[in-house]
Amino acid sequence: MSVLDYARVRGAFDACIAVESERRSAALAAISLSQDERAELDSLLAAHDAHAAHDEMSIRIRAAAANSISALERPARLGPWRITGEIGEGGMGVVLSAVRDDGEYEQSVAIKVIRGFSSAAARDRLRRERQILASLEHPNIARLLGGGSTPGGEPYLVMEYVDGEPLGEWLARAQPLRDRITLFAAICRAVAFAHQRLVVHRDLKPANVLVRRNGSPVLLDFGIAKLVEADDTAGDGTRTHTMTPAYASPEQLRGEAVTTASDVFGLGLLLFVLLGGDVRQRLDPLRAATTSVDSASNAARNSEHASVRAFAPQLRGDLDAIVRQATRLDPTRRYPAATLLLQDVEAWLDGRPLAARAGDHWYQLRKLAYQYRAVLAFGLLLMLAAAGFTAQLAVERNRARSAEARALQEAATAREVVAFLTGMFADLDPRRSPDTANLSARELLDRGRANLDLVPASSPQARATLQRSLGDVYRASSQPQQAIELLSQARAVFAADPAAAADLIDIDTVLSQAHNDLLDVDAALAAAERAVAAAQPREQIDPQRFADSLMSRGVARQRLNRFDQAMADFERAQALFERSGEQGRRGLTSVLHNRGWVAEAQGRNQEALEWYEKAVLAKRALLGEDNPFTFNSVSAQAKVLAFLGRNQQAAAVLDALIPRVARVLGERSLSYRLLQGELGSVLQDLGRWSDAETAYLRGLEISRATEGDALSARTAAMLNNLATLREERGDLMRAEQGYRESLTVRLRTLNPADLGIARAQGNLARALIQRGELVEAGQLIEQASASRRAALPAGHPELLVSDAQHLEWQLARGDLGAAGVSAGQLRDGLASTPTAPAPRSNARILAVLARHARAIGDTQRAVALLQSALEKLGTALPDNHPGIALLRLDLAETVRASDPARARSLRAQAQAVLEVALVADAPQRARFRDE
Amino acid sequence: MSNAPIDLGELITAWHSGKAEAEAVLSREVYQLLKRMAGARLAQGGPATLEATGLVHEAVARLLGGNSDWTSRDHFFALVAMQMRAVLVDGARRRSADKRGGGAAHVTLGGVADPVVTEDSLLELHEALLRLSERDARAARVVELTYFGGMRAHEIAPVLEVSDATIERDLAFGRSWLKRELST
Repeated sequence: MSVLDYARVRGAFDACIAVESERRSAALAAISLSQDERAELDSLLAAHDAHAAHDEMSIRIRAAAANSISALERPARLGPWRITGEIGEGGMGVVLSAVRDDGEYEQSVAIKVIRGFSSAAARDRLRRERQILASLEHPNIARLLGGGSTPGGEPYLVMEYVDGEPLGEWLARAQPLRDRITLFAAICRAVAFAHQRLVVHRDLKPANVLVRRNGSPVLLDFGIAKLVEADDTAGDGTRTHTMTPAYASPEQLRGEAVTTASDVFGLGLLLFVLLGGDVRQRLDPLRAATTSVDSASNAARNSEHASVRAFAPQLRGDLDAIVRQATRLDPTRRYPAATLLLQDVEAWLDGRPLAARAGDHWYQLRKLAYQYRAVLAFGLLLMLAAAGFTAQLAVERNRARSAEARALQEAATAREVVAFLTGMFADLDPRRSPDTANLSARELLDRGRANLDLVPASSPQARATLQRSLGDVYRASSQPQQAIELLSQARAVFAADPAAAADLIDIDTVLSQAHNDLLDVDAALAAAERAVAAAQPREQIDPQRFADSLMSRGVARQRLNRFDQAMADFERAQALFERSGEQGRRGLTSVLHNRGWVAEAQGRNQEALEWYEKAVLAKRALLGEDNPFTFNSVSAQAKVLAFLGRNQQAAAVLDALIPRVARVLGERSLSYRLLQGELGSVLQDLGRWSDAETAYLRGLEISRATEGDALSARTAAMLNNLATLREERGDLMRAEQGYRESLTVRLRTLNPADLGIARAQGNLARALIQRGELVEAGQLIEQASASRRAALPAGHPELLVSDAQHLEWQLARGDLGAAGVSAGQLRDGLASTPTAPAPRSNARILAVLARHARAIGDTQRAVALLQSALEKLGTALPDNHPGIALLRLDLAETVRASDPARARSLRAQAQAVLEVALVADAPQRARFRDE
Repeated sequence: MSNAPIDLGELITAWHSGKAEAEAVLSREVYQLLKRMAGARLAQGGPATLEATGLVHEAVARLLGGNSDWTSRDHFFALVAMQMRAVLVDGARRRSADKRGGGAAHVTLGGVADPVVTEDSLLELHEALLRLSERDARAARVVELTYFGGMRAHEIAPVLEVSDATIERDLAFGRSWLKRELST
């Protein structure tokens, strides 16, 4: 029929439907239609008249449309799998049944197509984590066989097809109590297995449990909820939670982090259902989040099934206790690990007493883990983030959330830390828990390291992340060797992953720190340079990371005595931290401290003090008084105060600091004993030398106890200081022993270029000179001198110390010719040094020059020098200090001829002090004994 | 999808001011958007009876937001409705082809309390609509906009530039015609 004709049909139709049916013929009278056209019109009118037709039509269209949308992307094949049907539809996508279709072999699978994944990055992550899940091989866990992406870009997961009935159906057939518990034990085993491999199920419910013909249960969808939740669809906000509300744990309902404890809750609820309970009341999320699960025996007693009511009495007591313990609202009060829940279930099956009824004896475990966390919070959080594989994803999700939610997330992560750590020991016999509670942090870490072996080799990423986290924690607990081993292994994996650039920078930064701890400065610098090189191009987007890398390079450079370069790095880092506002505050406190440290190494003590004081203020504000990082800066401040001769102030600072350190870190801590050493040094300078000796000895005692044969460089410093005390008191034998031991330790522990060795050599040399051992003294002075010249820039005051020692030695040998040259050089040096040496060194230098002056008969000059020395020393030491007394004695001897009265008075003054200060057999006593 | 992000707002403005190329590009973008939205909706769960019209409304609201006069909105609605039909039909065609080629089992989804509906019924509808448009183009258009776009008479009228009453009559005719076609 032609179109034109149709227009007439259409016109006729319009006319007809405008009037009642009886009037149609009249309406048609004006229109002439052919026979065909008339037939057409009739059929159309008939269709129009059947009212129901209109409804059916629209329904049909709508349904067709709806059906088309639902089945929009369902393919016929996916990879080697041929889709044979649809098993169902869930919150995250559709589940299809499929068989293998490449002629290889027969296999039935279930394929879950996950809808709505948006970004390529999220899909990549899913692919990585899929590999982790695929490694879960357990008879009671549905295997994840593989996966891929549909042509439309949606990820799918291929899972073993389990021939079994859902748990609900199995339960509908009356099952004896014992069979139910046995089944439950198998489920617990599966969950515990997965937890050991750091996979959390997150969606335990009866619908996810199938029961095979032989009664063995299989868990479905392990960890898949997490993979799906991880993605945030492109701004849609259409992503909803994938959990099933009635079975969700309270923390899940509150939107908090999901942990292994959530799985324990899920298991408890499963047990509750297995024992005849129903969860309808939990459909109200508010109620579910705040009300405890009903007692199993109660629920069973009220069950509508006679068989359940029959065993209700047997549930009272033990089984009630298990359900209660597993389903506590507070995650930290549940069974700390699925294994422990399993142990109680097995105990019930064996007729043994339960742990849950013996009181909360996991308290010890939890307490230990909690304390551990308090000390190494950051490292452990990393560790657990790695364990949950949510490090990246959680961080990104958190960026979108409010600060409060983030705080909750962090609190929950901390609980996770506790749970994970306690879980680490869950394999132990609970009767041995008391021993476990005494495990040291070191042992905890080593166990963690051993657990790494559980991560299958097919998941290099997971293993690398754990290695990295453990490495960080090892470093934080002063075990740099382990840290380096682990971090290096992790580094290799991260280096191969272009998406892990930021992680790689962090690893190199920590590696640098660890190498520094081991005093392997070259390796430290190399690692730091790598970090800086990688971080610099990202300066705009990630200024903090760049700043951190600069910090580690600055430290490495400082240890190589490249002070100006180190300072440059710190300056730059400071600018970056300041630009980062709130987030940069932490780094800023460190950089302030480091600048003080470099200034100190450059001999610019006043400047160093100012930096340290800034650091202390900043740290107090940000971290509080009782934070170990604050302690660091306060003790550095005290040390520089002492160095500048402001001993009263230094003592006051230390007196306030030491009790805090004892309280927070303990008396056996490194910080405590080092501070005792510092305090000793300061007290020594204040002339309170017996208090000083007490402090040194206390510090050394603890050091020897903790370090054994392998004393550390820090202990060497304490040995050195105690030796100087002894030297001042004239106890030369022990002074020499102390210096020698200190030097030996320093030679073993320090980098050969480190000036600590030079100082120890100088000290020992001085002691040897006093005993007349000139040959060895000479060698030591030579070595010390060479080191200083190599390390220090020209004009550095410490170079003069070497020159003074040369002079002293030449005088002791009676080599006046050489002495004259040295003295001249020394005088010139003293005049031209931009920064004066510290008071004590200064006084020592002047005293040696004075000795030379006396030796060549220039009494006047000698007197002037000695007076100057006394003046300098007077700024640093109190009047009754033996050091001052000895100088007075020197001066007395020098003026004896010219001004005997003055000489006598000086001598009397000196004697008064020295009588008391010197030890009984001090050789200096001879100087004022005879007349 | 292209790599460079397309500014749909600009595109819509260009299309509204009559640029021909804009329409083709815009249509393509709308098509992709509807597919994505459908997929996302599906993952959200809930009953399988997803309304095509709901998607169209949502897409229009999202793309136009609050800032458009009513005439351009209606025209845009019509464009989106057309693309919605295209999305559904394309999907149905693809599945049809798969079935014929792969020999896979016939997969259905219930969810509607009604006669078993297969994707073939949509293709039937589509082809019937094509035939109708050969007889009465405007009536076919009205049916499309009503059923795929969920548009009302007063919304369609300005697009097709006829009166509301004409739209009603077109709809009556189109429905009757299709009913007759599809029941034989």
